[in-house]
Amino acid sequence: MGIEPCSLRDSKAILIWKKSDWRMSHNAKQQVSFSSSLEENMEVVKRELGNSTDLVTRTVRMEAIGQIEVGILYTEGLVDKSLISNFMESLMVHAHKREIPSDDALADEPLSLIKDFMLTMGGVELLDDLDELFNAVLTGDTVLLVEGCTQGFIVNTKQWEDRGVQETSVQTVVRGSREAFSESLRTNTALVRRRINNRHLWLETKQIGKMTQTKVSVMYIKGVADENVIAEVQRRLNRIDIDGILESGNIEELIQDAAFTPFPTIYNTERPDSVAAGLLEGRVAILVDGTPIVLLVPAIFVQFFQSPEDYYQRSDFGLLRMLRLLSFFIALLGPSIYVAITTFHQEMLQTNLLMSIAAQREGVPFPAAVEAMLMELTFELLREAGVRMPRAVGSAISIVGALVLGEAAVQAGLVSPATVIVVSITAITSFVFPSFSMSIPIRMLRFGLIALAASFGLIGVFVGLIALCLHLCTLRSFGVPYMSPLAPLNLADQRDTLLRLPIWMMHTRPYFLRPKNSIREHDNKPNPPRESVH
Amino acid sequence: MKRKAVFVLAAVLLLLTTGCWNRRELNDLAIVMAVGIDKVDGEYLLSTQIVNPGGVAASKDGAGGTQSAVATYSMRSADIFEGIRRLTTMTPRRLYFSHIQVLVLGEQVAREGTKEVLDLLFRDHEVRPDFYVILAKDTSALHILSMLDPLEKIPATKLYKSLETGEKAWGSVISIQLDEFITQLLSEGSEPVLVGVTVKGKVQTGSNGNNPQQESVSTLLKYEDIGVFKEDKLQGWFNEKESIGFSYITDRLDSTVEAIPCDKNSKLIIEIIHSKSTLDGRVVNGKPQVEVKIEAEGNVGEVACAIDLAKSQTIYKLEREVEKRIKEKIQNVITKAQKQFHSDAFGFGQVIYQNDPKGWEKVKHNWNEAFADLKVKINVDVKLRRTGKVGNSFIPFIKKD
Repeated sequence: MGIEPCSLRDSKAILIWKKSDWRMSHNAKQQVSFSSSLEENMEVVKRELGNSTDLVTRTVRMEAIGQIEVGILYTEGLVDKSLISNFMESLMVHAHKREIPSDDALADEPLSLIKDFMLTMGGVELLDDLDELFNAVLTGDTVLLVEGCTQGFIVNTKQWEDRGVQETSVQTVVRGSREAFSESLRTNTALVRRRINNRHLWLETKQIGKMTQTKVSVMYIKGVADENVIAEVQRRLNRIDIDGILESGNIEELIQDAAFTPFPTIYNTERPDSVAAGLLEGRVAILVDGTPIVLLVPAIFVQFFQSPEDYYQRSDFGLLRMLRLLSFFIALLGPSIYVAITTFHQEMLQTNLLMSIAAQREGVPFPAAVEAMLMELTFELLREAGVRMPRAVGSAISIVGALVLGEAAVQAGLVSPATVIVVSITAITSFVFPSFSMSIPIRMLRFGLIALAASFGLIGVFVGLIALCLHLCTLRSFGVPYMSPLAPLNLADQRDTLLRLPIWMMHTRPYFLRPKNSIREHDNKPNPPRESVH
Repeated sequence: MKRKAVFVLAAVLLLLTTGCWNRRELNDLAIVMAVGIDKVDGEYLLSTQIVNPGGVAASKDGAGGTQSAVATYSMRSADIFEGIRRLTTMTPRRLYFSHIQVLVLGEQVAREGTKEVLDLLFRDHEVRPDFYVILAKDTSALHILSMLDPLEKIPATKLYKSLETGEKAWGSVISIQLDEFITQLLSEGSEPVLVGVTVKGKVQTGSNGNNPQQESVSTLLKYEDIGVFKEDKLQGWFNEKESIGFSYITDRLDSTVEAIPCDKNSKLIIEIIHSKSTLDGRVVNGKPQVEVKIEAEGNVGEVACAIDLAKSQTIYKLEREVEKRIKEKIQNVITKAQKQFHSDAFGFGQVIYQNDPKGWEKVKHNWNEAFADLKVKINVDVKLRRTGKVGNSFIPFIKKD
């Protein structure tokens, strides 16, 4: 759409204003054009925004070129004030000094004149739709309307207070980048771009949420990511019809594969380097404005046990993944196996161990299952309190938690020390996972397994485990089986699953992601000269 | 959706309404550590040693010290099973048999036959057949179980541990588990054996709570002699030396000590550190014969004689001496088994069956008689490896007045 000619003298065209039309027109995308009267346009905007007090409207007169009246609209707090004063200056002051070609054709086209000679900004767009105007004004752009014209300009002046790039607070590492995403979408895309300087890193942005108009960006490397996955992500995002998106968790819930599962089928991270690594493997990132948490799809089960640090430390460090897997089983099964063995299968314990546990249980009034449930519940309460409480009262919780509940409960003979040990180990292991979203299903399933253990013993526990295993195998994330590359098994992908082999051995991108270009590297094995280099 | 909800509800109800079948809390169990079976006036006397966990565990506030670690309950009844159930009229908790460490059989039971006694313990699913079976020699199983020891709070643990250490270090003690005993009982050409335990000192003082608190314990339990069975009936005992010989033959020996007198007053002690026995049996011309080959290694342990250990000749001489002694022990025990008990406790028949199955077919019908006249060739080879930290002994150099 180009600039339509408009005359300063010709202000006959009257806007036919149908209020009810444009308000409900989000889906229909009905264009509502402007009147050629600046004053009327400004009034309409003010009225539609309910005279909101953060809306700033100014009318300036440009003497230089035949008395053009220009209306300026922006929302205070969302704009870069210095930019605004900058271009006001160029409109009001420099316009006088400037030598304007007194071409008739140009004089009749004040919009072109302004655009070509007076707007000293980078991002300028033509505007001829009221919806677009609101969108621009409310996201921090400045709108310029000109008397006698049915078009205007959007000037990119967005700037608002944000936290800036800060240190990671959830997914911390010893070795590796400390940058974390922040709430601003633009900052976040920049953080990823800084890591992948490639023209194939593509970014598509759309607005989701009828009310919030939240910007959601889809990022991928063209030629690496599976086109089907990209298309599927687009399709699922386009399906969303909701009033507001406030966090990427909202998106996650709306686009995940299985509606009812305790396990996360979409990976989330606050680390730009994790996202960059995922993109390089052929995943698709979904960035949502207003949250530092970025989504990465497709996600697989073992991904939640992998930390970016696995790749930054030497490859033997990757053995820690075994430790994490072990802690997954302890966190999931610890209390239930304890309950099952002490109430059903005492013969499985070594005699001395049995006696020491039996001695601890002397005089404890509850069955082992109730005891374990109580302690687990207490621990969950403590953890929840620790997250929600105001920082100032933090020490009170730890004193009450550690001293009163741990020590006093044992002293009073309400719980046995063995149970406290089991619950503590479980608690510690549940903090081992690099991804918090995996510890949530484990916490929940633990209680179910305790109930099974209390009613059927080990048989119950194993039936529960089998059911869990079956469930995990039915899950998919954007078409990729959740348990891959373990089930279905892919031997090549085992190089980066439970272990991490040296980087020079991982020649290919993960096959389960079906990357368009699966070659990651060619022979990189260190090959130093045999003799001394001196 | 509705059907799903009903299904979930049914599953939950199924889970919750079954209750907890077979659930046993730890503090409702009486953990039986040892079982003793005696026969008195044609009735069984069943004794169970139950551990009191509160008395065993080391508690920092010292509460454990005042409680007794075990309680031994006994009950007379016509059958063992009946006895076990009847015992619950005396015990506050349900008896739990999975952790039995030893089964003590009274000598009377052993002489009259053990098969009825053992079937129950072998059959019941709760009992694991990996506990040791021992015989109460010259006393009753109940007495054995009621002896308290200063080092081990639980008598059953004391029986169990000293059985294992005795077997490792001395050789006259053998540890036989229930399943092993039953295997021996069932297999052709071998008879079971069990080790005996007896009380040294007065039973009265031994079962008194003060016994463990004395520094020099006046009454204690001691493993001695191996009881030889014929089928499931006890026939008699191998004494200590014969028991060591028995261990040599059956390859149970880990380590023992051999003494060689070098003159009237002084002795030289050899520590056997390793012994390997190889048995070979055949039927030659209708006559069974067995060869026992022992390869042993030893160290010089103690020297009180004036001999020169630096010379290899001396060492060779000593080796011959040790071989002679071992051979003597082996010969004695075989003769006793052949002549006195007519019981093939060594499993020679089994050896023939394994090496010469066709020959075994010929002799197995009258194995009892054949065993009595069995020719056993004994071959002992001893190697002395080390003489300890020093060479020759200092004893001959002590100044004489």
